Amino acid sequence: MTRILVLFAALFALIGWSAASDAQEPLRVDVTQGNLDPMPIAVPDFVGASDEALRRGADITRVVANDLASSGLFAPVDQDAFIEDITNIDLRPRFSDWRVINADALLVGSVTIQEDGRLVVGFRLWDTRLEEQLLGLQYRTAPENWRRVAHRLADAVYERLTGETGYFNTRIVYVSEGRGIDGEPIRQLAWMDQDGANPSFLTDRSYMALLPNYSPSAQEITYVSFLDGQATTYLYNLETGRQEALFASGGAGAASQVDLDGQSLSARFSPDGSELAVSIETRSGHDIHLFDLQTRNLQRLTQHPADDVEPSFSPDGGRIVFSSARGGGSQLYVMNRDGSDVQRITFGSGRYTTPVWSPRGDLIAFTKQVGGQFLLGVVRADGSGIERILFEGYFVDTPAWSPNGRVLLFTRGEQRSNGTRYEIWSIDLAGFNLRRLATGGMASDPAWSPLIE
Amino acid sequence: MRGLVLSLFVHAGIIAGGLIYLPRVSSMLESAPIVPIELVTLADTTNVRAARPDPEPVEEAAPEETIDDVIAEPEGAPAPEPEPVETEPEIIDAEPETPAAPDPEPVAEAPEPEPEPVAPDPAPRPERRPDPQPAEPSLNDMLGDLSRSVAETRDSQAADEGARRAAVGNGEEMTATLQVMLRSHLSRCWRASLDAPEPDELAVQLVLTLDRSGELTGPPRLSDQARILNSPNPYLRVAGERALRAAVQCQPYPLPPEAYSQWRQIEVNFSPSLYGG
Repeated sequence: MTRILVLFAALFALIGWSAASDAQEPLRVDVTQGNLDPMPIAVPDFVGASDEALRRGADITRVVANDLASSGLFAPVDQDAFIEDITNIDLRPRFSDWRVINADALLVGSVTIQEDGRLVVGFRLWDTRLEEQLLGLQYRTAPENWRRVAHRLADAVYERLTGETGYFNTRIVYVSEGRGIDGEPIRQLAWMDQDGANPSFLTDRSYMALLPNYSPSAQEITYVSFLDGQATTYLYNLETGRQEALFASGGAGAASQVDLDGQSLSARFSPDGSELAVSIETRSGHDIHLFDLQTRNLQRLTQHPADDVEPSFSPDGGRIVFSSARGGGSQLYVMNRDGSDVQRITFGSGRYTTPVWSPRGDLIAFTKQVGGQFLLGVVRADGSGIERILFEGYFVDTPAWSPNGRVLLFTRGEQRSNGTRYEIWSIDLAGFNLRRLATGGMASDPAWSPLIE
Repeated sequence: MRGLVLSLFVHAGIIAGGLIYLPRVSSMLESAPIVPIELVTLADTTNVRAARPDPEPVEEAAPEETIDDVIAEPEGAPAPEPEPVETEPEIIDAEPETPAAPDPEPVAEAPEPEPEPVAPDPAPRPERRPDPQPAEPSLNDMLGDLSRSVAETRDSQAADEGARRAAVGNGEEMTATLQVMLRSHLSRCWRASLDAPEPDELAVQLVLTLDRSGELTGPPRLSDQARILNSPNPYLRVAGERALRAAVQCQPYPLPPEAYSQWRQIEVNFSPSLYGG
């Protein structure tokens, strides 16, 4: 009997010991620094059953790879390095073949041309390290929309791999700058796909057009026109081509409600598209106004002797940022959408101008002039923390956010022997990936559309 | 009496078995649902076939249009020009295409519709299963070895403790060295989610078990894996995936074999920080 009890004690001791050894503390490591290199992704030409489908597949592949590379977050792997020849996207790829060429992700796709001519583009996104499919989708579309499909596909890949929405299926409105026969400046509105494809003009060269801003529906823009000889805000319907002067004497929202001199600048849409925030010149200088597009009611929000200009809504529509010289030099201020609770958010030296609220809501982009230099920066919307400078140059103006709030377009002027050359450049929020936007010639004043549905 | 003894043994056996087996079961159960969830998601949007390599490619997989007309003429008539617009080629190049390389000649190989299976995935995927469970010793063996075990257990525990006490300073130094080595090694494989709006909220924790050669003995696991990989916050999901990817990609871990017992199990906290830490 005692022997049995001893055995028992021993049995429990053994159990206790094995549990203790199982519970040995693991080695703990904190990793806070990662690599910021772009993710290598392999994008073999999409497969197809006919020459035409193969050609279209190669076109789509090129647009997708270009989109992904342009974000600075992805590095398409050179197609010459590919080992496995993808012939059927419904088979599991040989992951080791893709890992050996250092592709972390693999995007395979196919193009089918239906009898009615429509395109069916299917794709699968694979994680070559975890050997999992991350995404698989099909799009069907009219053949002429193949670029849209490519951009949309790139957006889906971008979103799946970064967690944020993409921005490739978008358009950009900008001011195309040129010189007339007598050397007079010409400024016309133009627009194009985000990657520079499909460019065309929106206004003619007979009058100057400036400072376009997109509506949240992507169907309208506002811009400042000198059609009437003075700066007047216009509403421009991109689908119908219809234009409408706002706030001008005799125009909509006319002088009956506010004593206007007529000059109005840079109207920006509220996030729901129902209102415009605009700075209008009155007898007491420029003040911020709210214009209801339905009721045509104009409401004055600021009434300071100093000029208040360049309003921009927060993405929730509750606040408005603007620049004002009320504190001496031009600085940035935030207020409620009814004009109450004005708070200054910048305090640095230099002139702060062109504030634009990020679509994410946490940051406000601005430009700043210090000494002879211009800077592009971002500051937290509540004014806390330090401002981050993303770019510094000879001339910087008119920042515009990508719809996901990760990239900024801006006008960049560079001194040349024959004068200043203006171009549109992009830079990401971390201050990396500086690129020139693919406009044909000189350009300025970018406005980035929302994602096109 | 015999009955009582037998009953005691059987109960002890069940408890022992439970203590050894249940923790494994619980960790297996956690991981199991993840794969099917992914598959369901995929099946939603594609006609993806089983995640396993199918021996024969299904002929005419005829992709169903699960997502039909996702893009139905996204924009209306293209660019209605409000006024006659003068084309100015010198201002905007007429090139509708981005200046990309000339068409890289669509791969000329016509897709030969050969009915024979297309490379049915040679390497049968190295299924990374949790450690095969050690063969459970039979009750008889256990009983036979018990008295010896008791003695050994006592000895080894005593020795262990003694050694630990003696080497306190030394061990901490080694731990710190290992941490530095691991941190620098993992930093190279890990793509930090710095661009996310609230990077502070994207910390994820990973537990790795390594063999002596520095290879993972099983798939890496996130603490709270199911919650992270199914999170409604896409940034968190991606942060989890990036951590898993880093752990796999970082193999083999170059760590000193003599300290294997210290790095057999590693808990990694990935937390993106703009200013490092």
